[in-house]
Amino acid sequence: MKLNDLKLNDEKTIKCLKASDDIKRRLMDIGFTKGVKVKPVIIKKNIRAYMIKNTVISVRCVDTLDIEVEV
Amino acid sequence: MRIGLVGNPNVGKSTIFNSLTGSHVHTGNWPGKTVEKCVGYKIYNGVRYEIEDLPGTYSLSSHSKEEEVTRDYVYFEDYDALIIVCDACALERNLNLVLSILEITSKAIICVNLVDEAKRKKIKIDFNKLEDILKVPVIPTTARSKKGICDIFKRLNEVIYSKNRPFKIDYDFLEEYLNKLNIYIPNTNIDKDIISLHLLLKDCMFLNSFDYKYSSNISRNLYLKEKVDNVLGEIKSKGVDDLEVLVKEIVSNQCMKIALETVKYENKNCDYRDRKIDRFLTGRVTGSIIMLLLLIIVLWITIVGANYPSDFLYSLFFKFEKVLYNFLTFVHVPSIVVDALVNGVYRVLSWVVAVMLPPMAIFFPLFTILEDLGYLPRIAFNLDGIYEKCGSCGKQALTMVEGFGCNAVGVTGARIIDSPRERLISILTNVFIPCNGRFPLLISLITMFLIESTLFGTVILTLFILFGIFITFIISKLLSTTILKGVPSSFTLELPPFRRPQVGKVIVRSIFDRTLFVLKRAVLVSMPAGLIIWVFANIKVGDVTLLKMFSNYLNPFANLIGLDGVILMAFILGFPANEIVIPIMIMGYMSLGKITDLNSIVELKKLFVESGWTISTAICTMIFSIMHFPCMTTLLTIKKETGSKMWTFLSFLIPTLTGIIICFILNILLKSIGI
Repeated sequence: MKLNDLKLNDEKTIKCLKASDDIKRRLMDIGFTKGVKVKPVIIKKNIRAYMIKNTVISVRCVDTLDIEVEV
Repeated sequence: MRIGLVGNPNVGKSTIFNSLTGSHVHTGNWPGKTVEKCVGYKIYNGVRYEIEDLPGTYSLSSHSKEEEVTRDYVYFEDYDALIIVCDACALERNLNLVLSILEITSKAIICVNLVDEAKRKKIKIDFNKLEDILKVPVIPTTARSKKGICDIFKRLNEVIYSKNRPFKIDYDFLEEYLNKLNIYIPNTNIDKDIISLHLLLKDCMFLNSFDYKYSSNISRNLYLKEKVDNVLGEIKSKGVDDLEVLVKEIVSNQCMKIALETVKYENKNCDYRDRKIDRFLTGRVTGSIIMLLLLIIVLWITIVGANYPSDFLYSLFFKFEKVLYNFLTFVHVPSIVVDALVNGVYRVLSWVVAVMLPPMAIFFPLFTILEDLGYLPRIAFNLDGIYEKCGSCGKQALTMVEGFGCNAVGVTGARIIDSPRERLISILTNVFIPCNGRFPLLISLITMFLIESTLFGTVILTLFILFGIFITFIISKLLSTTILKGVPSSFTLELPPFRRPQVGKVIVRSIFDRTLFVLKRAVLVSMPAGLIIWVFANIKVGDVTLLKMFSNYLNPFANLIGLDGVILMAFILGFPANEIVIPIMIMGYMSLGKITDLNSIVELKKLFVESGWTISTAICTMIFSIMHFPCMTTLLTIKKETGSKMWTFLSFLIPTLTGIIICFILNILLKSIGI
């Protein structure tokens, strides 16, 4: 299941992180790695905010297109 | 003793820095990079500790100039110890940086800050266990109330003289491959495993810096390169697609394990309040309304609050002017020099200070309070959608908010934008945000020609500003499709938890900083400007002053764009500081030899109307005020930030052209509907 398809407050674990190098590095540094729980807390059309490791990080939807989560 | 202060952004590092160093701080630049360097010192038990505040970073793999500074410092500088500041409410994420640093040096103290907030959210941390695992001192602190700060100093000696081996991250099956490369690596202070890892990750920047510092040759050694590629091949054959991802996963898993053992969340819903607030602040309708209201309120407080102090300062300077005049005449300074010094230099200087200082002393504390509160990233979050469409990112919104106070500050603030292309867009368009210096002109004109009440005048001002912001979007879009073409960069922004701002400290520090800045600028810029303006207004060519000559010369062109020669002349001579535009206009219309203020807005309106002003003139003047070249300080700041004459020139040209074109069109439109 894709990260971008998650509904509000639906917590899932990240399965795999496919993205361009630049974005991938930044996302990983901020906590998006395999096995980490992530939960969308604000959903807008082009950008979302996720609760990850007890912090809230906003990322653009276009940058998280290829991130998959465990169903 | 050199101590480096590192940590994630938003952990209260600055508060720790201030608590550690008291008021003994000075700012400068890191050599080779335009990043602010903050160094402070403190004497504890007879030892002088020099504490260097490094830019906040999420990890040691750097993405921006600022993070590179931190990374290079941690790896290569000769410090005596590091203090790693963490947020108690986000320990797991912070551990990422902690472990990466502990791999390299055991001379570190972990400072877990914001424990009062963690307590409130019922987050329990076992500090002793953490210390056992990490093998370095772990000190809980609440920097706001200075709790725990002494403990940091007490235990610093432990680490400075420690001979402990650094914490080891267990790289699992990668260890055997790292060992294969370790034999080629010279002995240095840094663990060979880490160097081998960087070799495998092909981190050229790190390897070059390493070679530079240790005079080795591992970055260009072809034999070594071959070995590295061999090992990489072996690793890939084990099914590892992306080594970098794997390494980060390994570190992340270790952080998770440590966090599981040391942190307990007793309240699963501890951030409930923040999420509710966010629903209002980021909602499509509510978010925009709140942003607009805040803009109006901040503008209104700044304008109204600055009135009395400005008047007071002005009358103070005026009184001193007489003293100065009498003194200079008394010591027999030639009268023309006295005139130039008092009516030229001194007048402009005192005008700039009187008009500039009070609004800044109000606006910036307000801004800092919003920043401490945690609200500003929400603005960036809300507006990111629009900025993305214009080829930029939401962080530009933050530089624009700073631009309200002073465009030069907004330009410097563009450093938070990682992508150089987007940083340039932000720098070039910052001038469309009217700064504090332009408020008096805008508000006066609105009050004189449009609406009398200050409150509604502020609303009208907001409308003009929204127009300026709209133009910012258009120009940003234009730039990113023409001379600043490129792909929008990735954008991650942390939305920090809402924290109570320390109002007292904020106000004091803000006022102090801003006062110094204005005074410095006033001296550097206004004094020579005052002299030049005096020359223009007093040197006659034939029968007519230079001022009159030039304003007559500019008149035809100015009329095309809805202004007149005097107004245009005032903008040009107001290049050093926007605050003096109205006084120069008065000087021009009344053919005076010195800039003057008129005591009431009624008198001013009379003067303007008698000189041919209509509502259309007022509107075009206001638009031109929002859209013309940046002031001298801003231009110099742009030169410093971009390091390029070309971009500085463009930052002068683009807004001016925009202003001319828009005023031209506006003039035609307004005249055609009979205003």
